[in-house]
Amino acid sequence: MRVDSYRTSLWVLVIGLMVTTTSCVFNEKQQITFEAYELENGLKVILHEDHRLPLVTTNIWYYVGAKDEEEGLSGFAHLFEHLMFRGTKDVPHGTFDRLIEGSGGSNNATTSPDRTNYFEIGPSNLLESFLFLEADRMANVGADMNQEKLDAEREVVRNERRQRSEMTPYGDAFTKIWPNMYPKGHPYHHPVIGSHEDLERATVDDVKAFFNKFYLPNNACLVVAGDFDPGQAKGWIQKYFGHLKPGPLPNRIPIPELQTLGDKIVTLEDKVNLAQTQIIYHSPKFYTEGDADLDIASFLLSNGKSSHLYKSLVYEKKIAQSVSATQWSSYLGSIYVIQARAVPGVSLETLEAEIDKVVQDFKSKIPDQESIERARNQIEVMFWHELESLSGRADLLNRYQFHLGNPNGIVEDRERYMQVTPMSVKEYVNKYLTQDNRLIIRVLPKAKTPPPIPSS
Amino acid sequence: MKKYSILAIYRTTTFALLASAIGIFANPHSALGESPADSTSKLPTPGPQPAIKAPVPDVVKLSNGIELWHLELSHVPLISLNISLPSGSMDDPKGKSGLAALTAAMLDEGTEGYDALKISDTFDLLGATFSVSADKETSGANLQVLTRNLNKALKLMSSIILKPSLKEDDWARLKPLWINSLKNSQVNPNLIARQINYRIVYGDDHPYAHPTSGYISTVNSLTLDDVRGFYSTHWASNGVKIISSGAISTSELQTKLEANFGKWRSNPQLKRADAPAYPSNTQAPKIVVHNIPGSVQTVVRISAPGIARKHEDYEGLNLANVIFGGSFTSRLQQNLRVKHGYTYGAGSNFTRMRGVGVFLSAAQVETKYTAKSIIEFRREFQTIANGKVTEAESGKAIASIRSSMMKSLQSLGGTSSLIASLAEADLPPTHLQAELDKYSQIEKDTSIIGKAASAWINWDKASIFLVGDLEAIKKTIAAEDDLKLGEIVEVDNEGNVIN
Repeated sequence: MRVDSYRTSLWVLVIGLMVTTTSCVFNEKQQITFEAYELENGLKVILHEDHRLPLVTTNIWYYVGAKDEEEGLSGFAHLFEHLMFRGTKDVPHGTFDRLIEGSGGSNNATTSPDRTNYFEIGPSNLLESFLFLEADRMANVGADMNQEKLDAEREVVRNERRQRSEMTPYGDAFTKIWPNMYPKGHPYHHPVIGSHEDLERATVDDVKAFFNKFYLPNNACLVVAGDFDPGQAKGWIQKYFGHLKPGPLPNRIPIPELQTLGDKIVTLEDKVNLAQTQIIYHSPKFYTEGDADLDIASFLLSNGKSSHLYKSLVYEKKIAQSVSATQWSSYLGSIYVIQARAVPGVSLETLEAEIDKVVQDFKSKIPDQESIERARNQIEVMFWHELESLSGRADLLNRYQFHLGNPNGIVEDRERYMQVTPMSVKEYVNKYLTQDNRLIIRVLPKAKTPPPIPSS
Repeated sequence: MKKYSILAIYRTTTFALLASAIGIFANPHSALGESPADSTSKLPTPGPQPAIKAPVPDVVKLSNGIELWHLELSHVPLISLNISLPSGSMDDPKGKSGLAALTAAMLDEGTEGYDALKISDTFDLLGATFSVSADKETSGANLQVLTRNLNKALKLMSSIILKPSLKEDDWARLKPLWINSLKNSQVNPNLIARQINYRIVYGDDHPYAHPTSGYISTVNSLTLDDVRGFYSTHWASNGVKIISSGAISTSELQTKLEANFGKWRSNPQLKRADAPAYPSNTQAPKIVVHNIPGSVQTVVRISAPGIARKHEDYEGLNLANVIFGGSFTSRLQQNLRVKHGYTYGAGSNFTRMRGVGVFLSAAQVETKYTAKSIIEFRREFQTIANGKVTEAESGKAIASIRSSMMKSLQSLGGTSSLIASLAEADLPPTHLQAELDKYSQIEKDTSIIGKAASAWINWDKASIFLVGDLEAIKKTIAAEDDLKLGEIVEVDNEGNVIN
């Protein structure tokens, strides 16, 4: 069963798996213990206790991301995320960070195409402070926004964009993926960081409208994880969040049909020494049919030296410096990226032809069972690493609630990898990695720069 | 499970606190109400800070003298294990920069009965990640593995380390890959800055000066015989420490390691080099620039001598760093990012070395604000050198250092690196506790922090390295009468002076 987590109105109390070993907060099947409930105003709450270390974390997912931006305001969801730290009347700018760090905590936030998350971690005596501060900004950031705050944070974000895109080799190519993969008007038509032009355009009114539309208790899910007393935590959550008013859940931007890309090629120049190609395909939505199979395919194609692409291009033919196949899965649809950098003297056309040859060969055969076992074991370890930290567990609970409508989604998530077979891998690579519907982004070294490499 | 964070972007990337300190949350501290801005009565007051205990790793010896430093942790069925030997790029012979790193990289290319492909497949099937690498002072192998597969993984790991093939055809493949990787990184302003900084600060002849990955020219001249020579000299059991944490008892792990590494030969001829000293009379020029025409930002790195881990001022200065640039509310971040918007992030940290590492302050700033940013860095250097820190700042620093320790203990990787910070600095296993005591002592007399800051954070001893558009940088500097930095020395992307 898959529940659209935006519109889940009935959210009954769920008691997660209880395990018997006191020191264990998840079992060998990696199920995380939790308790979930919903406030009257619609705020979802998930509690996960773990007393191994005297630490506590709070993690809020707001169900808004870059996909919800108005046309002409690309980058706004992320700019807004920064503005959530610019203070309110009760917690003036600077107090939020000073309070948290002053007692040994730390905080951060991230924005993706689908959602925005905010998190704090610190000594367990800080839980009430974390909850107070998150509730305060959920209530007041919009009303207390002004031009000065917006202008100051806009400079920071524009420097972030410079640092990520303009100053990072191949950074521009990354931002070109979205406008070329998704048609105008599609929620994924632009990168999360947005454009300088659009960032300049944002006004205080835009900030207030965005806040009022999306930053609602019934459009968010709060996870508390770590060393805390659940009774006390529930009291604080009710006290600080309980009085916040819900609002109508926002209408989402309608999603236009994807157009067939053909064999589209975009060529850029950048200050790089090695040419790079990215061959990009559409792939299934996160957690839907084929998503797990294509993840496994990524392992078979480029993880480890004997993987198909690495072995052929880097190990044997020595025409690529590096190669990777990765699926970037998202809520409304995913992309599958094969990226390679050419050894100097090898053209991108040659490199792409060889990649196609390997992929064609991979598509024509049934992968062996052992290679799938290798991928599964690697995936099991990745799960364990994610489960090691409180922050990792808190974010996983939120991720499963968002995508699957169930914090306990780890069971389903693991199971879908167990279901992958050699035949299903073959089926989905044939279905999605098709040469007549893909984008190629080439990055060529700029003619003049960089300066010659010294010989001494 | 997949890594999809590439699509998410973060609010901030602050310099990580040094995960080397630990403490007890003994004296409750709260920053609440200390600033007039926080005048609201609604803010909750945190309760007493939770008590924490410093873990003490077990230390036992294998029959050939290898020390095992282990902490048993059973919250995940994994083991993290590092084999650390005290030879690194500081042992590269003159003209052979990159040798330690390429030697390490050659190890997992083959061993008895296994080529590179089979090694890779075997570890994958075991749910293991395995790597061999070198840095300035150490070389080593890192294994993370499901506990249930430890035996098989250790057996292969031992074969790789004790009996690597070091074959010609692997070398012929690896060397050009390495050179292309250097070419690839030589266009990244940040990587260039990181790589060359040591050479600028320490001077050409210092063992830390050259990048561990080498220069294109020196790697070009390396031969497989060089690699075999470095391996047989340095990859010996003397001085080796195995650092681990995870779901296994010390005695059980010791037995398994004895079986796999107990016969690792020692090299009686090898005298491990002492940690080199910081250049006593630093001749580093005040300002050095690598030119990237058209760059929209300037990478600013300001380096000053740091101190060794064992120095008596270490803890005080570690706290001063949290205040100066090691947190979001640090002076550098608040000034350059929050107040002025010159950058996405400014911070400072110590490069932890057995010897004396660099005390680094850094930011990536919009080009037109290059000189103004340097002025703000200078202002903060000079302000902290007056030795005054507020009660809120010292409280924050102590609480941050303590909780960063707790955060490290969440994961096996973090735990192992805490243990390594002791083992590799030749400190006793109880030192985390000793350090903890020292922080509690400082809490009673926070003037120690200010004193350490004024003794060690010194603008006159700092040198400035910029990567960005030279002409634009010059213009911004010329516009600031107050900023007297002397002549700009220009270097290429390997740090050679070109004017």
